[in-house]
Amino acid sequence: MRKIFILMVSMLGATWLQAQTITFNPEAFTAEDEVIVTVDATGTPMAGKPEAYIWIWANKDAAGGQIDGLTNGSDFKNSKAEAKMTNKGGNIWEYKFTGTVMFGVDPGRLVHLQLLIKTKDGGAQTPDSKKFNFDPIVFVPSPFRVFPDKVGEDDVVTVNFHQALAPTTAEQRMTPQTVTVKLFDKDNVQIGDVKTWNVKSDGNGAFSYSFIPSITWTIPAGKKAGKFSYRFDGIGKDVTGNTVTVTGTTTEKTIDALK
Amino acid sequence: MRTNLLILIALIITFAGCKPETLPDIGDPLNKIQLTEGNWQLERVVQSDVNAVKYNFPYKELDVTSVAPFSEFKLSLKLNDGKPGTFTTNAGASPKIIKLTDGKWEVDDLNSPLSFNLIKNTDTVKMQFGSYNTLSQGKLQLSLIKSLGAKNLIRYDYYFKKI
Repeated sequence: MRKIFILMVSMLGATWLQAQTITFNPEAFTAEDEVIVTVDATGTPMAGKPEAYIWIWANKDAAGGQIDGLTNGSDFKNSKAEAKMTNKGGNIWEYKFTGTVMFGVDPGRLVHLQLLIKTKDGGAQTPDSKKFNFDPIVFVPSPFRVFPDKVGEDDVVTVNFHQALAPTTAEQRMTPQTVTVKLFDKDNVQIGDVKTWNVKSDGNGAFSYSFIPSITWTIPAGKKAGKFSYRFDGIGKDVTGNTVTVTGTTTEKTIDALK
Repeated sequence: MRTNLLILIALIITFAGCKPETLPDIGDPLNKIQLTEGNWQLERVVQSDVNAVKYNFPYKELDVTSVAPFSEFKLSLKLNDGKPGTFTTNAGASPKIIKLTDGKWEVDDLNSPLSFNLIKNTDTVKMQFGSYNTLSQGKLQLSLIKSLGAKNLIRYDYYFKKI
């Protein structure tokens, strides 16, 4: 039992040790935007290293396959000079790039990127980052769409349902009636009550509803809205012709701190 | 020979018909700042997705006037010796599209203003002038850009009428 406990503590410690903080400026960016990535290597094997090199790749597990950054070169044990990062003090490292230039492909092909930082010889490195999405530059139709694509808690938010693209047959066949929306704070705690509104038909199988989060809900002092979920419901017919309620697919949308 | 003579006569008649004309005065240039002074009431709000506009997506903008009682929002602009002076806002039941209730307003250029800033102490609401052409008809267009970091994401066009 004691060994298991020690093992668990070691694993947690290892996880903490691997922690790295990655931020982008601007926070939201397309493949055509110049972006500065900042990595805080504190608590990672790269802490205290005199030099750092970026190792970056895009579209892992995405359609079309992974695309390596052109600054990676072919040898992980010998990073190219172009990949050298700028030290901003202590364990903070910075690198400026544009997606299309870094990956050498058309912007429409880039979905997301990941990166790590390393020594030139690869003797030390941070773990693979999570995936960071590029904002789309081509419109991709989807059944559930929020306008505008990025919203803040004080903005007018319009949720849209394009029925022809609905993921289930029941949703494709139902008569949309309502949209149900829940608001959550940054800690994923629901704010206020669930709101259900009648949807507006925009024609051509499109339905929508608009609201302003900070007016619809009272956001507690010191809290910020972090996301909302929404679901379009309707009525349909079962196999015997009886009217039934159709519960739609729930979709979530992040609320950003727009200024 | 006869043809040439006819052409010569036609040319003489044509040039003889010419006389100097004086062009009418185009008048004084529009004083945009003077026209901006007054009490304004919001009558229309259009929201645009900056990224969607840039990349020509099918859904670029939306008239959101009916989403909330925006038309209750009032803006009063005063001049000080012919230059931008003080302002007050009264949101009523409207969303506070301008968070400041009073202060001073400034523009970047008195003759051709582009930026329009509302200032109270250290807080500044940065907006932009829309078309000048509608000012003389009692219409004021101001635009507000919302950003995430350095990236512009949402544009609001506010259309005011003079009251």
